[in-house]
Amino acid sequence: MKRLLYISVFLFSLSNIAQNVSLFEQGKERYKQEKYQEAINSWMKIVAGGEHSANLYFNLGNAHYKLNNVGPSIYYYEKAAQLAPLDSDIKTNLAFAENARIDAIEPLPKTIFSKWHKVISSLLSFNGWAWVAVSFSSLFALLFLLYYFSNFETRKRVLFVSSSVSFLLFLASLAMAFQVKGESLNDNPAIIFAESIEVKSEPKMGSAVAFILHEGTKVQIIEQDDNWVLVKLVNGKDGWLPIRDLKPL
Amino acid sequence: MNPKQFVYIFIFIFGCGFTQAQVKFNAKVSKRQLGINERLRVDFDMNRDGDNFNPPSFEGFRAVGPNQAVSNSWINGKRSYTKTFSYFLTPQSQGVHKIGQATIEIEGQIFKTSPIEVRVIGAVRIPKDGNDADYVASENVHLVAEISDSNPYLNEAITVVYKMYVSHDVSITSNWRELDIPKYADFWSQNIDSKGNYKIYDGTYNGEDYRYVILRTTVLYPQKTGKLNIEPLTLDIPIDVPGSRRDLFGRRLITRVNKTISAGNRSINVRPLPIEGKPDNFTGAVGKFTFDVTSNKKKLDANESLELLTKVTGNGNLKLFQLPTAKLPSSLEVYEPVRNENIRTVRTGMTGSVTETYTVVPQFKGNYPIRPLTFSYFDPKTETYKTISSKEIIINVENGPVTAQQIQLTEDVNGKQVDVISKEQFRYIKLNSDLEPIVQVSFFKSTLFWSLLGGPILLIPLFIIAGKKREQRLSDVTGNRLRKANKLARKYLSEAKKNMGNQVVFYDALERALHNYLKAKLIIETSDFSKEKIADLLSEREVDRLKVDEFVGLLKSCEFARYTPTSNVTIKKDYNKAVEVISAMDKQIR
Repeated sequence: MKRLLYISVFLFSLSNIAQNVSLFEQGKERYKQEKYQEAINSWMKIVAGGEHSANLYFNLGNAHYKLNNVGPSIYYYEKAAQLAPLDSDIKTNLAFAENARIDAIEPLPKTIFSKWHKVISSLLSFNGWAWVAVSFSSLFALLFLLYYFSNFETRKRVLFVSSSVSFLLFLASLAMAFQVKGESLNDNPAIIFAESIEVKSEPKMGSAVAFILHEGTKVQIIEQDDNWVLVKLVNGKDGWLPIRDLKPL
Repeated sequence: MNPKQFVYIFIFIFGCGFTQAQVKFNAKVSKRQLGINERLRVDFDMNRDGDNFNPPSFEGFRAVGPNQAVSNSWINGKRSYTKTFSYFLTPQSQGVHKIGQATIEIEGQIFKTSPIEVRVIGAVRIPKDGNDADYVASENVHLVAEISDSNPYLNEAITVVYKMYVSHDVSITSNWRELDIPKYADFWSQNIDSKGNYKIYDGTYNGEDYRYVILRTTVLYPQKTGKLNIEPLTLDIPIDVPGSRRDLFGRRLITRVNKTISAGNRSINVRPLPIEGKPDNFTGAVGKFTFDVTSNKKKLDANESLELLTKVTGNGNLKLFQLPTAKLPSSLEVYEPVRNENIRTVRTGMTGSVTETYTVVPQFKGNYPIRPLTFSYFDPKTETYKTISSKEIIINVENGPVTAQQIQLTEDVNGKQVDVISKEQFRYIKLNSDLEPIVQVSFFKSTLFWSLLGGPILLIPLFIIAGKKREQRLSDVTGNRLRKANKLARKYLSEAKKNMGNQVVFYDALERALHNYLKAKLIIETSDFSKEKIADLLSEREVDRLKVDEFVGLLKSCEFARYTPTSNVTIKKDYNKAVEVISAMDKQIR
């Protein structure tokens, strides 16, 4: 009985995958025919089916850009960039979409160390760093044993140095994995979807307006209280806005 | 009569004579308070004749006079003398006016009257007063302020028309003078002047035929809610009234009467705009409008300019509200809008259009949607708010850089690079799906992760211990040999050990094992070798006599046991014995 269930689940997932690929093709065809909304509909079915990819989100961003939906296009380009941070096509089209948004927010200047940190930590995801740590730990064990059992002086020396280096690298990559994981927990970016929204200084309707944001602006969600979220901009300003006006990435 | 009473009488009589001799000079007014359309009489009377009568200036009044009157009377031989100077005063303006001091010189002495304060209030109805010219004039000339709507909304245009009705009985031949001009403090106002060319219309006033002229039309936009006062217009009009007397030629003699006519105070009640349904972007526009946003170009290159026009056309308080501001993408350079008003004010209010022109210079290529602007106004006719949305405009910037960084990059290099960068195109969609499940199991911090991470490190001491053990064994020679022999015996006896429960199979296997051992050790090829031969061969190989006997004894018991039943205990003993013998022999065998 249990086996039957497994088999049916497997077959179902297989058929699902085949269906998603055909949906992707269908979306491509409709995009080619400039039926952008229909292309979006097909592609969104794939996401609803539980699958995604950087390419899929990139295509969704393109279709929304063609429909002049600034907010959704930036949202999907950002999602694509999350999965494939180094893709230059995504960066180019994101620049196109960001040109069309209304807010221009200058980011706070960063120190050189934080820039380095950003470059290094964005190389891999925390899972990637975890794999790096695992491989370095095996490498270290191997090199250490070789060092321990080898009899020649020079070989021993080389093996000792390389095993210590791999141990240090193991510790470093483990630390990076924890760091990146911690950052990804604190990193809750969201894109404003409302055309124009007053950001309040308190989480209630009658509160004073701190500033106004427009569609397509990227914010960081700091806290949530009921239907209100505290958001922070890259220039350091923060304020409350209703959760329905933005979409977390 | 006592002497005291006599004295009193004497004093009284004497006193009377004395008072008779006192000079009196007084000013009297007919009224202390009067309307601006009434007249006032001032009498200055004295009981002695004097010279150099000097009247006050009568500021705030127009004075007619003086009329002199002298009365002399003799009563009981006593002379009483009164001389009066009378003036008729017409007030020029409202307020409290002071009639100053008049002076006169009597018998070389200067006498003064005390000043009198007179309060002039707004126009009052003058009671009918017979058949004099004044009354006729007041009955035949009327000033009326017509208000188009006495209950308007805030910022809704109302028109005040001042009409002067003149009956056919009187005529106005010379110009009038405006005394009080309304200021309209709580309104935005604009006069539509007739500029002296008054057209005469025929109309009715209180059911009678009149002629009228429109003196002025004022368009008002109330700026406050509640009860607002419209101040009256007051005119001083010379009116020609034909009298009952005729001149030599039979024409009626005409009397000119100066009348002050006021249109009367009017108040209107301004309603606030309804709060219900008020749109968020309402900026106070009241009337009826159309709204449009246009752009002079839809396609252009970066650093070219285009003009974006927002335009409100219609009737209403056009000068009194803000146009919605265009919100444009930040990468478009937008200059302050230029406001241009093309408004005429007519009797129904302001009409025309207000435009704001934005000059826009795109910096980067791409499509720039300009979101629809909404303009809301209140329509007082239907008493509802209306919102007009403009169409979305899409500006397509065809050539230009994509982002600011790339511009800087090109500046660093030479001019040739600019073209390459500006050809950066909007990328086409990706053709490979590369789909993967959204829900990914996190490898980091999973059990597999921890075991893969810690496993190799924990294995290090195990490996080290294992390595050490191995070294120890390698160094121990006798032990090694012993272990080797045991190992051999165990190898050969393993089958027998498996079948310890079954007697026949056990001894069969045991025998075969012993034979196999010998085959391996002594390299005997034949399968049928006798016990004697075995004993000889073993002795040749320097095996102890005792052990050889034991070995042969074992073989014998194997044969024997095949046909006789034995207990489990014996089987066990035989097995142990076999192990012992084989290992002992292995040590000795050469």
